[in-house]
Amino acid sequence: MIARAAKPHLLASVAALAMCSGASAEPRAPFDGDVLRSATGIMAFSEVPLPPSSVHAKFHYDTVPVAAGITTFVEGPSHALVQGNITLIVGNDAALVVDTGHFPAVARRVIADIRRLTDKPVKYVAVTHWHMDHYMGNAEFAAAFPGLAIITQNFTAPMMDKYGRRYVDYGAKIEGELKPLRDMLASGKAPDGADIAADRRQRIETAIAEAEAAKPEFALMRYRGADLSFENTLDIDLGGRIVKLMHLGRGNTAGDLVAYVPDAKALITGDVLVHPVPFSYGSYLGEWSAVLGKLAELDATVIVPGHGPVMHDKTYLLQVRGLLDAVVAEVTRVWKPGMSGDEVSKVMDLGKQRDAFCHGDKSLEAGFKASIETAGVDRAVQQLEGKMKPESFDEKD
Amino acid sequence: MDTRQTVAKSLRRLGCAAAMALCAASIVRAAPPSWGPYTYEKVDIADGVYGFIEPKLNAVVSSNIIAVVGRDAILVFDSGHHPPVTRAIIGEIKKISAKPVRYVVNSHWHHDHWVGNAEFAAAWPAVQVVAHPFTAALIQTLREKFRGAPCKAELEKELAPQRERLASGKRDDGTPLSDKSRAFLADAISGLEQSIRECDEEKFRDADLTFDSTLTIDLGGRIVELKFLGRGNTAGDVVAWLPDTRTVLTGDVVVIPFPFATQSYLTEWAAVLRKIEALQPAIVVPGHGPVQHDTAYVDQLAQMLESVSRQAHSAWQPGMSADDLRKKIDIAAWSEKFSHGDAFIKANFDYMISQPGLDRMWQELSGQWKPEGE
Repeated sequence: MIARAAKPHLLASVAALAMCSGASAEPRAPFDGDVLRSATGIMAFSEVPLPPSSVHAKFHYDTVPVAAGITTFVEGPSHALVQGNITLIVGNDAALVVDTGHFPAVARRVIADIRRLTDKPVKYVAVTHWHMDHYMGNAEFAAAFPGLAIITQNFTAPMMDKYGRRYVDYGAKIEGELKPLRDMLASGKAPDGADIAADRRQRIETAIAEAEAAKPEFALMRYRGADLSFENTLDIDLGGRIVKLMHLGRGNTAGDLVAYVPDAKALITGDVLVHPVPFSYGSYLGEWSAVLGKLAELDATVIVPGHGPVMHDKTYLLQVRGLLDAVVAEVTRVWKPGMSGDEVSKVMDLGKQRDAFCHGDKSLEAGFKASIETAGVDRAVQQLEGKMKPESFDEKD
Repeated sequence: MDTRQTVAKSLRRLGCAAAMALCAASIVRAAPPSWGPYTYEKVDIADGVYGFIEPKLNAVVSSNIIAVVGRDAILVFDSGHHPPVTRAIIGEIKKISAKPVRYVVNSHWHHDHWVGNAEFAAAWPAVQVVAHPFTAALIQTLREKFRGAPCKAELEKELAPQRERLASGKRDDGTPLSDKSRAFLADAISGLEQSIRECDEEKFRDADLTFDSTLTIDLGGRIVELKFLGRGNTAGDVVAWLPDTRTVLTGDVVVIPFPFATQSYLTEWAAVLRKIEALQPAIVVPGHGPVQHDTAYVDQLAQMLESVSRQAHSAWQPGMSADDLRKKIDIAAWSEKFSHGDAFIKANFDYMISQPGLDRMWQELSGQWKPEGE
């Protein structure tokens, strides 16, 4: 199930849980170690070298005011191990948190920050989707705020149960995932026989350091699933402030939840919107654009993506919508019955879109190739074939 | 007829069946004086599911209240009409389980299903009140009518003619009151007087969570699925499905012994009842009336509504008045089926279906729906 993402220089800089689902059943390229795209796929690494550090102590996030009573803890841009943005929404009586992140110790730091920002109890956690970097902090929040209700869309709840429960055991597998990387450093050669350049060596060393630093986080993880799940909408009254949780159709996953705060004109999207390059692993390319269209119609002046900085207009949202439309149009143009995603990607041309998102940045281009041109194209092909594979994390197709 | 006028007035005020049973002298039983003539029974419905059931309609009605106990928390479906009664039921729930009541669901906006919310919030401050958005919005709009001075004034207005009738011993048409009617009037007066006292007690507590189609709640080892299945009794009816015991809590989508078709959507209501049947419940807990262990009553209700709707659709001519329509609809057989010869049930069934029920059919057919709650 190693997907084509694992090709030389395919650094998913945006990290991307590299959700393998939907990728081809055939491992089409050898695992090369640049992307630690394990069978569990949780790790993808930044081009930016980081010093070896303890994830929980050094994981950097920015505390960003979004609107009155709304604060986002924005994942720093340079992490190899990603964590979804965490957003706090405070009302007169209670607070709601959107997503709880990837790492328990980071969640604890965020909780301490929340206590400094408000004396209102966090009564609700809304989980935007089932990818683990968005909710492995649930148990920390539940311990800190007894009686809180964890809320998600109906599709997401059982997916969380399935993969989140398993994920706490993932720490023991990290060493196995690292072996090919260590082998490369030892031999100086990539699996395809190419020499490893100095910059690439440094990226691999960084990847190993970050993965090792993550091990204690896995030891801390406890799984906590949903208390409440809804199909289309759930409105929550925090006292003088309504938060509208909405599922607007399939996009990044089949259970995407967005949070909209009408009084603040604030929209928190989860990974329906990710900056600087969308994550489209296991996604629904043909339907996603319509979801973004609905988001564009909302009266929102501030938008918090699942990863990336807080935005103050809809420019990027519309740009992503245009990208998804372009991918679907291009795949539809070149695809003929029987063609695989791999074959499609050889003849299609998304160069214009790639340049618009990556501006020639090699790291972003690697992420774009992994997420859009590989995983995304696979999903677009599946949709044309009328055979969408179930979303999954670590299962063979 | 006097009783029907009383019912109609009450319905205008409550938009619901509160005070419906004003003629139900025979079923009103002695109860602690602290809450007037109201009675309820505690019923073990299924494993971990407890009902505080209005087995027969009280003089001033109050919804069935159901407690679903999970490993971590309790969900309560509907919170009742009378604060002192709700407090007593809270005491019973605390005896059943030490778990907190974390969710209170209001099945719809009628007064007798949510007045007790504030009592649950007082007992468990972290409680989450859950409703359909239509229900939450309408409760917000109407809340001030249901407490304090406006509440008292309205009830006093209803009380005055009842007191006069009892004093005179005569109906409005001059005929003498039977002993049964006299007893009914006495209990109705007592119930209304109790309601007047409660106008001051009422502390409003609105919804924390509103959902439009489904909400699944995990109480710890036990799932409750809240569902909006379409418009029926109101435009915001929520039913609760307990898959582990195959129990459905219907709110006033099902009321026994006759439907409260006051501002309802008869054609769509039948479809909602068919969806409830499709769940294949082993136990049906109505909004008022006793627990059912089969779907016979649900089916009968659906058939009746389908019949009324079918007759109305085939009789409909553009421009027809509601009274013209009324004349074309035959409900005699259904009246017998529901009342089994009980004059009280028959009078109320006939009134409900032929008056507000057919007014709503006319609104449906003419496309001129009136907003609920007015």
